Amino acid sequence: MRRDKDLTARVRAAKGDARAADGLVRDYLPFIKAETAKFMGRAPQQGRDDELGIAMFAFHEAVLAYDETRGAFLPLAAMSVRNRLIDYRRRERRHAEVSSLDEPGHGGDGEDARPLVERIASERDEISEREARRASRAEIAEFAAQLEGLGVGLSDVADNSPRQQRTLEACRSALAYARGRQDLLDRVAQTGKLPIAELARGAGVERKTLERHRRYLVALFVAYTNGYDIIRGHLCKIVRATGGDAR
Amino acid sequence: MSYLILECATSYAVALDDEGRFMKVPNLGYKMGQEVDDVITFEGSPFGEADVVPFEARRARRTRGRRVALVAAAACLAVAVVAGAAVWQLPVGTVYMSINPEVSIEVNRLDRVVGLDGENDDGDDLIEGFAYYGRTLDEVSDDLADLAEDQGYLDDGGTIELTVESDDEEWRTATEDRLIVELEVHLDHRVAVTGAAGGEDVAPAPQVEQVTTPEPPTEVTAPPAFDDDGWGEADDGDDDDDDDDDEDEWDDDDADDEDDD
Repeated sequence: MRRDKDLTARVRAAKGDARAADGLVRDYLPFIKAETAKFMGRAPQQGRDDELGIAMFAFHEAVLAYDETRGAFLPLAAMSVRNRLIDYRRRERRHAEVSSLDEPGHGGDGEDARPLVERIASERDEISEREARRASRAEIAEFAAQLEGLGVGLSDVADNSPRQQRTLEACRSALAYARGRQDLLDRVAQTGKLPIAELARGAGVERKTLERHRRYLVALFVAYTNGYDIIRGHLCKIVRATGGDAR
Repeated sequence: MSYLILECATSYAVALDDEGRFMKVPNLGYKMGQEVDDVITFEGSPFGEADVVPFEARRARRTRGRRVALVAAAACLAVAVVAGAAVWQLPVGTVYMSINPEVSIEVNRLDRVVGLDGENDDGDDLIEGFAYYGRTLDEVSDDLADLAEDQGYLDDGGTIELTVESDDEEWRTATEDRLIVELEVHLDHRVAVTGAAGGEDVAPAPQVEQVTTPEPPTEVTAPPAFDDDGWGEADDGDDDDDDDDDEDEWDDDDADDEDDD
């Protein structure tokens, strides 16, 4: 009983805090593994079975969605894990005809028995890729740190990101308007405050939409200030949609 | 679609797609800064359309489920009890035990006595106050024999005649054989226990027809033991001097026969 109360208190504390929820996932990993094993019919292997990653994510979702007036947490988490694993299996079934790169060959011993990924000739320049990834990591860390300084976490941005295409396009319009005004972008990057009225007026977007996605817009505007070339380079479709230059 | 992984935690990763969406996705071993072609995304809540079922509703559903389980268990128990009672109560056969008092013992499938009646007045007297229900047939028959001895119906050298009736021929035979041995051993062979060899429902052993294969008739062509009278005379009517000739003739005949064969 005492343990239940402790868990409820921890879940309550972690609600709305992605990092605390992640800590709870680490502490309850045996439970998550057990629930995954129930679904898979065998024990999942960490780092190998995608199902375990899905189950941890589902537990994380359950922490964020938990309402203690509606009963105990662990049954809810178990249901979340099960439902997400079912969703995942359905999704995988749709791709059943696609060959996996990790699938071993059918040729018995020798060359043909190796996984496809090892047999196909790699044209990637792994050294330059590694360099590029190191540069990306450095840039992303700087970006995340700047957002943290503005009181915005990356997971908050993800939670605040628009889901519907129409909302996404409204946010793009706001960005297109802001990109023409570097001082506006710099102001946002320094203060973290969004000039909602100016954006609504200038971009012709509803004020409520901007308010609802404030943290997302802050992250997007910060990315379009100078210094985040790799992130901006990744947002190639936004560039095409807004018709401007990334730089 | 291309996704840039911006943050990696144990249970999730934050990915940025090339249309500008930041999304939280399951971390399938990604690394920060990695670009991937596909991530797992889920639509809607993990709790389906109904979202979280209110606690009270869940309790009500659980209570209802328990009640259904309880009723089902009770029904199963009732069926089991009724079926067991039916099996117990249904006699599979009757043992008639005839000393002078004659009693009939009804036995169920489990070899337990479920009925005991006197077939004559002495039988009624013998079983008066005798507790039999649910006891094994062997115990009841032993005790009845003891009782008959005590009441003076059965002396050394006396006879107990057993007749077992049942539709189950195998059970009938087995029970009769077993009871005979049981009673004889119990009474130290002081009393003869006989089975109802002439039991009414015992079919007489069919008479085995002795099938004899008929011997093939052999043509006896050898002459009867012959003496002088008759043959010789009938043959040639000569005197005895022609014996040799006669023998020669027989020899010829034999030779002819062999030729015929």
